[in-house]
Amino acid sequence: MNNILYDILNDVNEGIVIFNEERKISLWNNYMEEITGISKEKVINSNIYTVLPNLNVNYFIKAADNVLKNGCKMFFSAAMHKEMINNKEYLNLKISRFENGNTKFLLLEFIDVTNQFVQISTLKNHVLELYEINRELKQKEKMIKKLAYYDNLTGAANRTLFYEIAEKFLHNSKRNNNLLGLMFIDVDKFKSINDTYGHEAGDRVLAQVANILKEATRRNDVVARHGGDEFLILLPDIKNYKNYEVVLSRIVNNKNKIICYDGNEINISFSIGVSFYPYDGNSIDQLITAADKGMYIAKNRDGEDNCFCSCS
Amino acid sequence: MVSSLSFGEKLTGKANLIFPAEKMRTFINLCLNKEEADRYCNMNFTDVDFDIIKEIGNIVLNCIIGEVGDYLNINLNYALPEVKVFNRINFSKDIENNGYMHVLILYITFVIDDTEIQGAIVVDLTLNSFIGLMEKIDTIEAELYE
Repeated sequence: MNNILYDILNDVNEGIVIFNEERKISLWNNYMEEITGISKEKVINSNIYTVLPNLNVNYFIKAADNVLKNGCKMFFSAAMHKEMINNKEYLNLKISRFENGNTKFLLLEFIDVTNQFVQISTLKNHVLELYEINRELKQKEKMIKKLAYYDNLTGAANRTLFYEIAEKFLHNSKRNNNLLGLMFIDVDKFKSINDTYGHEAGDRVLAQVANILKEATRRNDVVARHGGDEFLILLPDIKNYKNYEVVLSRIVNNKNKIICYDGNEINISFSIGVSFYPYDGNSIDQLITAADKGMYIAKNRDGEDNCFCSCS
Repeated sequence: MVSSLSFGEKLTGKANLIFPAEKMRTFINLCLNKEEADRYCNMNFTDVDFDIIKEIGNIVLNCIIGEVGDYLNINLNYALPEVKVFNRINFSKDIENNGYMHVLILYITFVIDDTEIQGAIVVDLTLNSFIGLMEKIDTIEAELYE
């Protein structure tokens, strides 16, 4: 029976070392031969700390003494105790005691967990790759959303976004019985600016116009580019239709209405038409048409920065 | 996260070292001398992490149970710790279901490199073991007054 047990211990797929109270090795299995390159003939009856010098450290000696004395079991993890035997394998170590008559023995079990370390490292690399891919996709999604909803030149909302938000604002105004204001803004003499100074100057003017309109509006107002040199502003939750004049005044009095281009000063002025739900229509298209008509009335007046509102 | 060590013979029960997952992560990082946690798998524990907790649980719980055994002169049969991750509800169910009638709770704080890590040790004892333990304490007490 003893021989069978001995054969089993010799064949198990973990490193088995048994030593007695005098620290002399009495069993050194095949697996230990394999990972240390030391044959059992050389180690039997040798001191464990001489054969495995990396274990000859204070904490291990104390732990082994403690197991020998109290019979408790100890566990050493490969992550915290590297190179217990060599620097090739990651090995967990279990120490336990057993007795034969009055003689006590310590059993060391070295369990190879190298595969776990390799797999975890591979998985972590995969996770890192997925994390990076996900981050890039999110950035691209953000970019696509921006391209789909915002005007590339001015950064203002495009017509798609404008209609999406406008319908919601109109729905809220109908439900809550609130006013919804809409301003139609056209840049005066924009064609002339393009023809005189070129399209690059025209683009700069449009970008500047968008900035002026954004600065003039409240946080919940929506500034959108309708097309060409036409812009729309949505004014939700207006208490009194006259309140649009505050926004109008901020647009007209903005100090950045002159831009320098190629040594020339280009003056920016607007023609503005204003419409209101419910006075000028029940749909967004009706409000745009009414504000557009107001803008043409303003444009045909003399001077700069004219505005027409049917409610005034 | 719970590291549990069972013990038997004259005193039967289980000792558990308990830490909230985020404190356990800090503890593991300190043991590995790793300064920063992984940003993408911070609360996902691997088998390697579990082995570290097993080792910590082994040291701490062996000390406590060993001291109790020594003091009361009781022989104990120790097992190696098991490590489990519970959510709060499952953990309370585990405690309720395992049939241990008496529980000792110790709140502990580990200080490693100026970092404080709070946890708890719960020692579950069967009724018989608890009675045995009390009897042993009574005997020691009686001997003191002899």
